[in-house]
Amino acid sequence: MSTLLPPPKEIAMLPVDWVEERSGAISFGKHMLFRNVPKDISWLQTLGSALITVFILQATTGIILAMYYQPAPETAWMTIQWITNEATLGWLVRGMHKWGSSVMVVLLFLHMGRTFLFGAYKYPREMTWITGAIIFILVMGMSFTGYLLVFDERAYWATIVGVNINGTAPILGPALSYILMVGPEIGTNTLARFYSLHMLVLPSAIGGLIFLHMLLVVRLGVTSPPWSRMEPTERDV
Amino acid sequence: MANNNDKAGASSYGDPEDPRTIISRSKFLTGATVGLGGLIGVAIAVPVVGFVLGPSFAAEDWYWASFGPADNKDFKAGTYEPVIFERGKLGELDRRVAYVRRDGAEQFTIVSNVCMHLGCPVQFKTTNFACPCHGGQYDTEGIVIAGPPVRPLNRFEYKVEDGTLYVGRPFATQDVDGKVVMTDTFKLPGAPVGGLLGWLYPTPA
Repeated sequence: MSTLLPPPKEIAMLPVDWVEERSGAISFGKHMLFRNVPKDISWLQTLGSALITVFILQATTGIILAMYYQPAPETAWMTIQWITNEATLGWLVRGMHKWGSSVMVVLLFLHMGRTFLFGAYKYPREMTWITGAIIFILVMGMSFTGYLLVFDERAYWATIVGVNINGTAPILGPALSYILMVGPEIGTNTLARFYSLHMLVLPSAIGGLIFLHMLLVVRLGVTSPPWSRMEPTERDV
Repeated sequence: MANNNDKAGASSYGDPEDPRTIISRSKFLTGATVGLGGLIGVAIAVPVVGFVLGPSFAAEDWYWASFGPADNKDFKAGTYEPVIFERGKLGELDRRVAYVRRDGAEQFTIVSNVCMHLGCPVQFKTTNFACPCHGGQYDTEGIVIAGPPVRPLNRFEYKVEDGTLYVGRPFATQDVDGKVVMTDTFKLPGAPVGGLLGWLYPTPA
């Protein structure tokens, strides 16, 4: 019998080989994870990975919150109180989502600052910078739309001020405010619109752009710091 | 032309009367795919965009809110009385505040408490309206005397019927030589009224 069966390790690898043969997923993953990087990179180049981690955290906790949150003026605040005070571990999930949003914005500033100060936005990485800048704007949109969903007094008045700041742009500003509020003042449709933007439109756009951003990072490689003593030919691996 | 029939058509390339000379099969199919795809895209986008934007610019529901008897002694000349009322049927979300001052038996000045900087609620303090958010200050007529607001406070239209005071929509006002003039349009906070700046901030609906 023992001569007929392959060794256990090979048996364990059978499903992996099956997937690899049909999709190339394993070699793709190895290509992504074990690609060469310059030897003088540091913890500063891990801020992007940290951001992806926080994005996954926000998406996961957001999906769970959406299972209990009801985006109507009469129920929004009450369901959040229930999530925070009554539901099992609800305080933890909401807390992770709330503080995670601040962590994401802080990390975004650090990541952008690092890229800027290292000159990593220069040729040939301009498109990586541009996709990152669009992600930055969309994350600001996430912060703005998420703020209203709590629907307490602070959320309400902060959103009024925020929408009216949009309205101070000439020509299109007032129309933009009307579109955001679904009319000239905050009403029943405003909350639903912000919720739809916050949980469907903006996250899918951010997800797609992160994918593009990552493709470009893998294609173009990582830059050495400006103080690098490596030869230019050694830097681009 | 008749000679080409027995050569399966291939030899007619270059013949100016053969349609395949004008456009090749693959070019035609590429064009058809892009063109039809574009048409389908437009057919989907028009209703979607219309549905997203349309309700934003629809006419707004306001109704005449009753403020009680017009001879109410709380409405005094020379000072403002705050009245909390509901402008529609959405309950708490439709709650608004108007400052009422008596100018005559059935004459009133009814000022909105929405700051014309960015929309925070202003409060009347004996001689002026003050905004807590960014320090906007208005005099007793609602004219800006300090801070960032771009125009005087909005005023509500009102009517007196059978001795009852009814209050309707708020309208933008303009500071004309130190006097408040009510316009016939609503404008968002932060949007100037009149002149070139007023033209740069059109009311969308």
